[in-house]
Amino acid sequence: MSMYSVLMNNIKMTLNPKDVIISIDRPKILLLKKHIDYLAKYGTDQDDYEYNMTEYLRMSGIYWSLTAMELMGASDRMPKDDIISFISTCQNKESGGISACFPHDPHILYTLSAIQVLTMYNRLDAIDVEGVVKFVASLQQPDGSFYGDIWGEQDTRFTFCAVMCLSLLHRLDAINVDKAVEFVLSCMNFDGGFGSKPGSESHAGLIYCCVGTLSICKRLDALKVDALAWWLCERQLPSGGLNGRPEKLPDLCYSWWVISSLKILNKMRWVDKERLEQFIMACQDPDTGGFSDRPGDITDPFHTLFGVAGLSLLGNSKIKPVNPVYCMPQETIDRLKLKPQML
Amino acid sequence: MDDFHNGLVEKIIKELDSALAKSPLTEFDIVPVESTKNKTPVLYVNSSVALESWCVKHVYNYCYGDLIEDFLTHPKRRLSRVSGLTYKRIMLLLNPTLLINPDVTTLWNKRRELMSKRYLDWVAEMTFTRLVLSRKTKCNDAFSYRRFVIEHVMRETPERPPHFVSTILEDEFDVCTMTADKCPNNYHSWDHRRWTLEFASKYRAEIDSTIVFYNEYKFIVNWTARHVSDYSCFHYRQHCLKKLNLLDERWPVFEKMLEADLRENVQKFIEASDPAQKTNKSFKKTIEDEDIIAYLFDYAPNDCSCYTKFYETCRKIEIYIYELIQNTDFLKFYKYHEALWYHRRFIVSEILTTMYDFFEIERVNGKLARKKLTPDQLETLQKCQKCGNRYCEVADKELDWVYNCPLYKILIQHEKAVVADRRKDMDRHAGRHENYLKCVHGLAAHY
Repeated sequence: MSMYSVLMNNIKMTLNPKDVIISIDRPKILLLKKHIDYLAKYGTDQDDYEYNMTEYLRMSGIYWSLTAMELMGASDRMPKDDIISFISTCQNKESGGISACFPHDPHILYTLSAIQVLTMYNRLDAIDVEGVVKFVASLQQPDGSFYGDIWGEQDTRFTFCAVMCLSLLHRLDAINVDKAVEFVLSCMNFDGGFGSKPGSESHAGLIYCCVGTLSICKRLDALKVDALAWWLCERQLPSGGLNGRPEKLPDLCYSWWVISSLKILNKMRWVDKERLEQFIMACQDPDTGGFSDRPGDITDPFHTLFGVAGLSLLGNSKIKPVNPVYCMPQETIDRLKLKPQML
Repeated sequence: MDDFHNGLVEKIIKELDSALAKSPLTEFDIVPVESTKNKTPVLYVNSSVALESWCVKHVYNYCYGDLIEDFLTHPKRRLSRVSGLTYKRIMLLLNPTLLINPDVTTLWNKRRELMSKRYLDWVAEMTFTRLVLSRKTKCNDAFSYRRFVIEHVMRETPERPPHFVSTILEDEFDVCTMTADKCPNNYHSWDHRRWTLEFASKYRAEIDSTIVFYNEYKFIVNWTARHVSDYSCFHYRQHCLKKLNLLDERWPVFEKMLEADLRENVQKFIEASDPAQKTNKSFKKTIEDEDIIAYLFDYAPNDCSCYTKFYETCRKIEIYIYELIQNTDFLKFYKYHEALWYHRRFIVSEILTTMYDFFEIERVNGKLARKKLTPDQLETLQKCQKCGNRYCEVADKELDWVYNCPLYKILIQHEKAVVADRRKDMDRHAGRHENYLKCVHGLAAHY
């Protein structure tokens, strides 16, 4: 590194101490094959402890890996039949809800992941769809919000899961959409952003959930677009990466949540795409494959999906187009004839 | 796992169980110790309990496996005959499992089930979740479980002794302070604190919620002063501001708590941009709210009887100008903090909203518009001839007229001065602030 760039980096750090510096030896091109091998092998060498520790989110793990593989055109590397029969065993006969893994409790988070996986495989016949509709509808509250499970905790994430899930099943009629929208809007803050509950702090991940909900429900008109897009594009840091809230470190998953929201708002030009791409590329691990939250950290399927999906939104030609609302391949959304609203 | 290991784990979890029974416990952790097999891996010092890392895998696999196998796979069959014995066994396995991995929602649900069936002591449950949170300070499942337990116990205890609610409040605030202190930008901790405030409002028959809110504001003013880069606590400060009871007769008590003379603050703020006011004696403390209104809004409410509105508007102006001046000082002292600048956006937005509200107008889709009043609101407004007339008159005028009011002029002058001053330190947020006001608040033409 030249003296000049060292000096510039020092200045950057003084003015913005909460960022990373991308060293020159980080990857600059997409290591597609590495990522495919990484996901195909993921989990096969886990010991009992690692397996037991992560069992509670297995279903989402499958969604992250499969979606990334679909986008990279390599879903044939996933054990399709095993996945489908696994999902069948996770549906609760009584409530209709789906759990992360039998015998865990059904939850809307994993119900959505399961539906996403089954729609990508076009195999909804593997479960009781009416049961899922009944489960999701039963979670809506009088104020329009959704609980995540029978125990009751409201969160805009759950609203997004409910709305996305039912729209994938073409069954939005089963819930009160106007009320659901009303609740989401009650979570809007003065900065145009959204939190998890009315009065909660604006947060990029939850903004994605709320913007996504409004997009599916075709109510983007209710947003304060300028204030919101302003807040979102200020998430970009000098390194090119995006954070999820003010003065937090950049994290790869926010590159998805922020730019997919900006894409829906038709304001993607407000971020520096070139620098963001550099940051995403730098989060790849050239040895193990996969993406991590920040350059040099340990990779995982969660960040791998959002790295791949982010690059897709930025127009990378080696990756299939992703739908910014559903975070699924556009071809799946087209096949289902879904048309979420975009500004 | 072989029998030797199973026997060892049984011994460890029983030791942990008896350590957990000791009180008062406040902290749990896993300490990195590779292997010392002749000594117990359960450590207990003062009010802290810990497990040595070498045993964690064995303990977790054993307890988690047993729970799944024996108590979750066939819940119907098992639960139908939950007895004192099986419940003790479940708890013996649940405690270590959740201490090691508190993200497993299903296991918290198991506790909820036992709580609902009155097997658990709620005070012990609160102690346990505090231990979980002392290690995993961001664990929403633990916060959420605390809320569940409190709601449960409130339902189960209709006749509550004095201090029951206030003890819960203190405990919750305490847990929130601990978790916010250990982890900056702790979203769930601040969310839980906000829930606790709502809880105080809900039970205001049993607790003086006005004072609780005043105290919380005082707390957060001090806290934010020590955490200037943590926007989560500033967001909570904004929540507290909105919850302050502006109309309570104890407002002077609140001012005393803050050790600030809010009226004098406003006076200084005005004088800084309008030195002519320095000699104007009418801004003495004895002055009525109407006079402040008359000056800041260029609106003389001589024969107007909308006293509540003036009183409320005055308190708002006082508290937000107090916020603005403090924020300016912090920006100068700490420099370059986005969290501080974002909080400033909130303050400026609130002052502008107070101004728009006063004139019964609002900004919709980037344009000023007359507020749409319900017939009832209009009737109330028209009870006062002057204000009612004004509402009708303003309708016929250009609404941009509000930007001529002295409050706005003083505010913008202040913002310009702060931006110029911060630019001297190369604070890139200063320019952003100016653009934000011009573009997002649509003030470009009036800046």
